[in-house]
Amino acid sequence: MRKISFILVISLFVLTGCWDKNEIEEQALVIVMGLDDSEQDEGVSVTFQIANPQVGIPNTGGEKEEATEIITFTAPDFITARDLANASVARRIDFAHTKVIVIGEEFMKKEKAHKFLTSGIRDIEIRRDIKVIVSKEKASEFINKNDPKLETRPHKFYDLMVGRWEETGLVPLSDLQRFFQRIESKNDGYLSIYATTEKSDGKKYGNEDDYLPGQIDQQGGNTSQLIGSALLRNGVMIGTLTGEETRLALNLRPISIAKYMRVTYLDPLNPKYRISAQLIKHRSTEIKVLTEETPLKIKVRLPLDFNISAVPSGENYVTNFKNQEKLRNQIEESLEKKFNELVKKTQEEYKVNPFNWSHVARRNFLTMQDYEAYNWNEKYLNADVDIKVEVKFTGFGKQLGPPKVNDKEESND
Amino acid sequence: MEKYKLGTREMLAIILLTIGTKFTDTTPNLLFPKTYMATWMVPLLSAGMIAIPLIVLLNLLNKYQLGLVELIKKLSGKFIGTIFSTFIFIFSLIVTALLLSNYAKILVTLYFPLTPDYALLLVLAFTCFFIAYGGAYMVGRTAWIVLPYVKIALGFLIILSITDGFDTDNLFPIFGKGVDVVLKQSFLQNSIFVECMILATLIPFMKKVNQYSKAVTLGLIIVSIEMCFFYIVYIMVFDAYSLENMLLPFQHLTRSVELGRFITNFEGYFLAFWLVASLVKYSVYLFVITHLFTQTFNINSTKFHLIPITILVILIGLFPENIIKSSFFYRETILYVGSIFFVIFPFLLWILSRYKKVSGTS
Repeated sequence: MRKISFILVISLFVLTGCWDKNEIEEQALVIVMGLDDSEQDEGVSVTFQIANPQVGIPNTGGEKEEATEIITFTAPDFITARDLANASVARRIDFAHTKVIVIGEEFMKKEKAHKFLTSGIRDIEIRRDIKVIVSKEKASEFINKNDPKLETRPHKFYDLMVGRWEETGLVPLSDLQRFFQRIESKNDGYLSIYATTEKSDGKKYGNEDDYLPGQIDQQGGNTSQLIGSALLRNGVMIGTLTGEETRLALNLRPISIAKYMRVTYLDPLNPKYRISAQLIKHRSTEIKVLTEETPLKIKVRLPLDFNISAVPSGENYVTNFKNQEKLRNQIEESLEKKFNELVKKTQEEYKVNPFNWSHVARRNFLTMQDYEAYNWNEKYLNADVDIKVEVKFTGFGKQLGPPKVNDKEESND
Repeated sequence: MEKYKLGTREMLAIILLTIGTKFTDTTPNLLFPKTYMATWMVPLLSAGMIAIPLIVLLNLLNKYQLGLVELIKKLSGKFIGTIFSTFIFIFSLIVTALLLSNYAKILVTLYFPLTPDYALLLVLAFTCFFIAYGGAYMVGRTAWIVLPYVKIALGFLIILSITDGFDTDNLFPIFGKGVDVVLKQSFLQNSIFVECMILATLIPFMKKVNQYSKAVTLGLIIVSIEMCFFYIVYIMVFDAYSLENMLLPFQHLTRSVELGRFITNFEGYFLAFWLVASLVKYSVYLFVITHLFTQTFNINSTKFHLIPITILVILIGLFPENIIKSSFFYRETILYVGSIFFVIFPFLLWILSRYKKVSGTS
């Protein structure tokens, strides 16, 4: 009996199933996938960026290898593209660790793009937390030119970037999960990360966030810039928001993921300078949607905490409470103006609401029939939006008043 | 051998594992396309609806101190009793076979895409057979042993998914497609709790009959709240509009959670607990239907008949073409039939018992 059970246990190791066997060495992990319109009528041009896990590890022969392999070809869809890719890649193509899907702007503006994107979700390896990036140029071009200098491995660049996105709010957190939610509920616009590796011709000098990708006058480093967002209505791209507008939009949402951002405001006492602050948003935006009124009324109250980090003008906003009030009014007014402009733009130009306010409106209805009959999308276009910003100064850094150095004293020293 | 009989806790563990795994398979997919954000009410309402016939049945069981099949036979006579219990046997056999093939297909769909489903079905069925072969006490003890691990894993999953982000606005409009739809579905789907009645077949293996009623009452309350809670989490995380088209929300939940930046893609961890729970579940089912069979036809050896019953389960399980057919078409029909039958059936027994009393005294 003992012998038999011994043989049985041993045979467990030998007789393991042959189906779905997956050797790590035989896998080619696609980290980034790019989708473009194909030159022909049908199909899609697919780009795979495949990671090389051996790169940079000493004594494996991987030291001098390339970190990634990038291939582009046309296929009926990106799932079947896998087998085509095997015409040149020796390993089994695997999507289990795909971080990002990049879609060219030109393609995203077409009706069929989101069909290619959504059809892939059926495959078990495609996860709902894959991030969606819309690139200004062709996706294949973006993937080829994106060359992070600090990161050897491509997945790490995107992994770390996600963390920064949550901090800065310059780009939205756009994953497939949210993409599906917006498409399926048919009510809100979807904001996707907007990126490019091309330098834009119309260089502009803006403040800290008022840019579209490619506009930042950056020298050296990685050529790719991820800032701002692409606005999608029912899965079709209809416009772009700059970094600043993206931040504003994210702040207007009922649940905000980006909680910390560095911002500057015009100094009310000395308009030559700008005051910089860290915006902290721990309290969520209060939104009231009064659906029983015509036109629809939306009341938004935004509690924002500010941590003043630099006052280059040298005015005293810390111990002088009158000045502080002036600063508060200045910030509240300028923010309210910006918020209202953005809301107006979405109502008149884009005709879609990217702030997820339909979620709040859902609370006012008892059944889905009532809610669908209300036709939120139409009503939003004429809605009367009232935005109130409440600013709190929670800190002034580790310095009290401005340093007591004026020009004269400086010259005496 | 009083020592080797099932007590309250073993029975409770069996109920918590058999019904308490239903929100992890395709059962939510039967509900979400109909009731949307109101789906979380369905388990509570269903449990409330099945509670009334269940109380009647439990009273009868306690009164006569008998198991399910014996009770039916005693109250309705040998011939009609056999017909009744044969119906229950066939019902449970088909449900078990469909569910088992369903689970094999869940594994194929999400974890082993290249493995043929009959191979997985065979492996699952044989494993369950070996557990069930140990008898009622072994099945009950196994259930009691694995119960805490399974529930802790579920709790862990809930904590992780809630910290990942959820939206309470998704729960609105609160009644989904309307109160009438919710009530109708709750009635038609109340046979998701039918185990509470069918498990009474195991009463001959229990120390006391009233321990069964205690375990079932407690189990029904816990399980319906648990199910309701999971549906709420699904809705808050995914949104009911997405759930309409999302096969197996539980598996999606396990795929979406992550532990920091480094530990991602660990649905395999939950798969292990889920598999253990399902194996215990199906060993219970196998044992129960075999016992139903042997008692209905007055055969002595339950263990011996496990072999043909398991083979029958596998053969029926091979029949559905894919997971959609097995769960949406066959299982839904069976659930509807079961819901109506098991609501009426205890009242029938009760009327029969009244009639017997009257005719007995006169």
